[in-house]
This record gives sequence, C-alpha cells and structure tokens, in this order.
Amino acid sequence: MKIALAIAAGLVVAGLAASAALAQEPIVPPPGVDPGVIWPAPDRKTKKFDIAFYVETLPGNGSGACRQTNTFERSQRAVWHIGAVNARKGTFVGPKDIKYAYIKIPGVSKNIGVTFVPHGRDPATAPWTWTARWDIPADYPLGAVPFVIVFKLKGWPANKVATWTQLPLGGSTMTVVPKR
Amino acid sequence: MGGARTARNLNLALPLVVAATLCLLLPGSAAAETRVIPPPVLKGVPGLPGPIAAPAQPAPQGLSLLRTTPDNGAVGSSFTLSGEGLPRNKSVDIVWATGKGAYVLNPTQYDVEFVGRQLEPVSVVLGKGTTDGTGRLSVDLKVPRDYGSIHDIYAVADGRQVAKGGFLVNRAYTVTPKKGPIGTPITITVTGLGWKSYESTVALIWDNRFVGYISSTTTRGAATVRIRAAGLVGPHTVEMVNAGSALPYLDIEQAGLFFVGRYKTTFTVTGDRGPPKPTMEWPENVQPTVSTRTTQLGIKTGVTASLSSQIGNVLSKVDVTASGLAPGVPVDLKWATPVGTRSLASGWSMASDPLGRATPAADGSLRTSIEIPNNLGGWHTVQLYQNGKLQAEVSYYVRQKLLGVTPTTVKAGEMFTIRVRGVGWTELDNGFAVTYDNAYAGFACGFYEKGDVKLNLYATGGPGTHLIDFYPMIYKGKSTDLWNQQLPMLSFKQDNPGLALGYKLPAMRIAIRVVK
Repeated sequence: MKIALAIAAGLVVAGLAASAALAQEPIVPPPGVDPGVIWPAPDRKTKKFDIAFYVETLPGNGSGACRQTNTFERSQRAVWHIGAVNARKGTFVGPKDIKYAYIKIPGVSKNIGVTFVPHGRDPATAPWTWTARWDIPADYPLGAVPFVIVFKLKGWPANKVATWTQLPLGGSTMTVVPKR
Repeated sequence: MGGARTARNLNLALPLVVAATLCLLLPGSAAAETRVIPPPVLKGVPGLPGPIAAPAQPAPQGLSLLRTTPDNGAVGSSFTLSGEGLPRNKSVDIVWATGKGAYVLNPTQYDVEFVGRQLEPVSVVLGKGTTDGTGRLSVDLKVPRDYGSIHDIYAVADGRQVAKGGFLVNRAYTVTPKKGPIGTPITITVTGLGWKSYESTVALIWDNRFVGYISSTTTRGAATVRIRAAGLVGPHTVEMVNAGSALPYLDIEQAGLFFVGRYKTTFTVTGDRGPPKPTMEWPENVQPTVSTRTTQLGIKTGVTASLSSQIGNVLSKVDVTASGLAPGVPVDLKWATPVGTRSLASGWSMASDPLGRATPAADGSLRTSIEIPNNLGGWHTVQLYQNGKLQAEVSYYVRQKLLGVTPTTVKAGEMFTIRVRGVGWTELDNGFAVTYDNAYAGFACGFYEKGDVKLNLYATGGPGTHLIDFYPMIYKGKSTDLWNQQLPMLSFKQDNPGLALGYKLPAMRIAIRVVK
C-alpha cells in the first residue's frame, strides 16, 4: 500500500477535487499554449501559493499504530499529522497564525478540528505538528475517503481559505477497508 | 530447401555493450517504442460495465454518504444503494469506480519485450436513480461482471458528486470435479480479482506446492484454468492465495489486503489408471489487435504474395503464390529468422535462410511450395527476392509441437526426456514453465537450440503415474512489473500478452509411469 502522503501547496477559496484519472503518458502542449496547472493550483488571481502542506496519515490504534498508511479498517482511529508553511513568508504556520483549521470528511456532520500538539513525552524536544483524529465508524462506507483539509490564517479576507486534497492516484488515497 | 545460411540481409545489428557481465547485440532499431496493447475480443469477457462517466467534482457543500446493503458480495449478487440528504427530486448517475487492464509490450522486428501491465482507473455509469422529495435515494443494483476488490460509488447530479459509498466485490471460486483418478482435468474458475496490481493475481497451491498463477489483466477479474489431479490416492489440498507478484503471498491475513481472503478445498485422488496420453491445450482463437510481427520488415512494393496457410508446425508444406514479379527472373525464397541467443554476449541478429528458388510465369505470377524450416517457433517471414532485392514478404506463425516423452516408463531416480519443437525466441514465447505433479519445477528455453527443446527430468515421487505440465510463461527481460516471471501462466487461454499479437501458446500435458 502506498502511503497517503504528499507535500502540496494550498490554494485559495476553492479546493480542487480529484479528477477521474491521470494521463497515462506525458503530453507536450502545443507551441505557445500555456496549459495551466491542474493540481495543485495557485491563487487564480495572484498565481501564487499561500500555504505549503505536508500531510501524513497513520492509525492511532491497533497493531499498525503510528505507521504511515493510507488504509484504515472500520472502527480504527485515523490520525493526521500536518505541517503547514506560509509560502509567502517562508515561515511555519503555528497556532498564533491560525484563525481556524479543520478536516472535512464526507458524511461526518461535524468538521474535525486540527490542533497543534507535540509528538513525544517531552514537549521541549518532541516534534510538533498539526494533528487531527477520527474514529472511523463501524459502518462507514468502504473505499476512498476524499477528505479536505482547510486552513484559514488570521488576517485573510472572509472568502479566503487554503485547502488540501489528496492526489487522485488510485490506491494511494485514504481508504477504508473492512474490519479484520 | 533449407540448408546452410547464405545471407544476412537483415543483419542490421549495431553492437551495444550494456554491461560487462551480460551484453546483448541488438539492432539499434529494436528499441522501437513501448505500446499499450489493446486486448483482443475474448469469449465471455464483457467490456466496461457501463458507459464512461463524465469527470465530476465534489459538490461545494461536500459529500453525503451512500450506504450499500450488503456492502460486499460476489459478482452477480444484488445490493441496495441508499442515501439521504441529497438534492431533492434529482436524477443522479450511479458512478462505479473501477479499472481497466492491458499489457504493455515493445513489439519489434527482432523481439517482443514484455514491459508490464497498464492497470488504470476508470469510472463508469452503472445505473441511474432519482432522489425523492426529501432527498432520499434508493437504487437496487447487481454487482457487475467486473474486477473485484473495493469499488467507490458516487451519486452524481448535474455534474457534481453529491454522495459517496463503496462496495467490496469478493473473490469467488469453483473447483470441479472434486474427485477422480490421476490425470483428471480439474477446472477452476475465479471471479473478483482486482485491477490494481497487488489485487490482480492469485496463486494456485496444490498440497503446499506452487502450481502457477491466475490473472485477469484483460478479462475483467475472471479466469478459468485447468490443471490435472496428481499425487497419491487420497485427499489433496487445493488453495488459492493472493499473488500480487505472481508468487503465493502466504500470510495474507496479516497484509493490508487481508480482505481479499483465501480459498481452500479438497480434491480426492481416487486411483491410478496409468499415464494419460500427451495432449496440447491451445488458447482461445482470437483476432489479433496488433499487426506488428517479428522478422517483418514492412516493405512496400507492387508485388503481392500469400501463403496457403499462415500457421503450422515446423516441416509443414506451404504453398506460396505471388503476382507482380518480373517475369522469368528467378525468385529466391527465404525464411527470416533470428540467429543467436539471449544469454550470451554475442546476442542475436536476423538472418534470411534459403527456402528454395522458383521462376515466375510470363504474367509475373508465381506458384511454388516451401517447407517450414525445423527451427525457431513464433512469427517468421517468408521473403521473395529477385536479383537480390526483397520484393515481398508474408508472415507465418510456427506453433509449438509436443513430440513426446521417452521413455514413458522410467525407473525411479532415472532420467526421462520430453521433446518440444517450435519454441520461439521473444520474451513471450522463448520457453515454457514446467510443473511436476502440480509443483512448479522451473522453466525451459529453446532459443539457443533453434526451438528444439530436449528437457531432461528425473523420475521422482515413487511408483505410479506422474504428470508433467508445460505452461506459457513470460521471460524476464527489462520489465519492472510487479509480477515475477518464468512462472506458469495458468490462465493463458484468455489472459496472455501474446494473444493480441497472434501468438498461440499452448499448455502441454505429459505423463510417465515410474517403476521401482
């Protein structure tokens, strides 16, 4: 199983969702044509990125706990570790920078909050990441979980957020499988 | 006819030192280009389970959930898809995320290289439904004859994904019959193999011995294979376990793909009626989808030529007819074939062996006959030359032929020999994989000995009838595919990369009697 891990740049306002499939071979655009960027996409107006994300997922319990994976059994706890960098300033996005941050999961009525926590017993030496957890319901549908990570920095306009979605690679996205 | 090699008209080899240890002399143009090979039309193999769905993005408000009841089942079973909180009174497409598979090859004049498999996602419209006035949806569906494992399901309205569910298509197996004497043909069917590489293949195990692998790259998750009952009188354990690498993954319960499961049944050998006669089993007769043939130069002249048959064994007699030739000018008929080996630094090149000479009539027509050389199998070309210039070429496929086994009664521990002619040289047909009493033993190749394989084995297993089976295999080249190679392709009748190029690679069934 590939690991659902990617470093991606955030984009403003609208998140981009997975397209149906990847092109099988590189296709050279015709001369003089700028094909644009499909994923990830920068701000449509400024053509610049706001936040660069590092995202990894791992089980929060069970035998595979704390190992990166994209596959989760029903009733298992999924944990996100997220790193965010302000791409305009080149600074790490910490709690003081955030107005709000959450993960939106299909069928989960309440968005899952993202908090900044240390990973280790000693907060002074442990690495800190943005973290979220989700206890997968025992009857959650099998298959891909097209979640969306949403960050909003302080001072941003009302209609501006940064979002992160998974690369649309078959088999690599977060996937719920039956309970073992 | 035949005789010493007199010309090397196709000897275009440009030496290319690849490594100090194993160097191949390959023509520069052999690189050609990798191609995704369209699968041939196969009996009983459906196309996609619905029309390809238009690309759709998630609705801005996010996705609701679709429930599937039950949420898993075999091909052909029924389930209900339901959801709520969807747009009201809306027609929705039920989009089924699945995959499609094809082989990737590099077919050239000199070789057919196995590059791997292309296994890629595709979404189809499996059905339609309409939400009610409260935004509820309920649709009864049947699991299509499709690849197995987990499929995402989306409800799409007005080009937007509004809800998502999933369904696990389980693997299902049949093994028939369940008892019989040694040599009884056993038919095994599998459905629900996945399209993703790790989920695409199962291995067949007989009494903890690897027989071969079963795949469905081009057959949408289903396969039918045949083996033979072997071993001592009594029960024998038959297992099917996941085999993403084409070899058995024995602790699948501990793997991330544990949900593909494993299968076990018992076959009871009821007796020993002596060695069954040698037989050959051929793949399905299909229409090739690719016209590239090894040894063919692709020349274009005003001369046309044809053969009375395009397929046969070595030493077959074939009539040649042609028109448009220069009247009265002798025609040299030649057989384009490779010379050399894959395993030595000298590599191989193409040669044109003489088949004979004939003179066209006054109207430029020619009618003569040739004998197919006792040489390599696979796709060859009959060439017609006048004044040293190639005027026409026609492809001919040389089949493998099982000559037999000697002796048929062997003392335990002594050697016996199985002879096969017409073995080819490409990565698809330069050898075959061997099982002994349903246990994979290794493979044999025929390139160096010009297609004439004399396979020596030792008689083991105690007194009684023992079975040797040859299956098509893929020779390991540069492929980086997850599959290991030189292994028995049990599902060769429908799922073999050579089918689309006109290769007809058989299984061969042999038996011996072992005595004290």
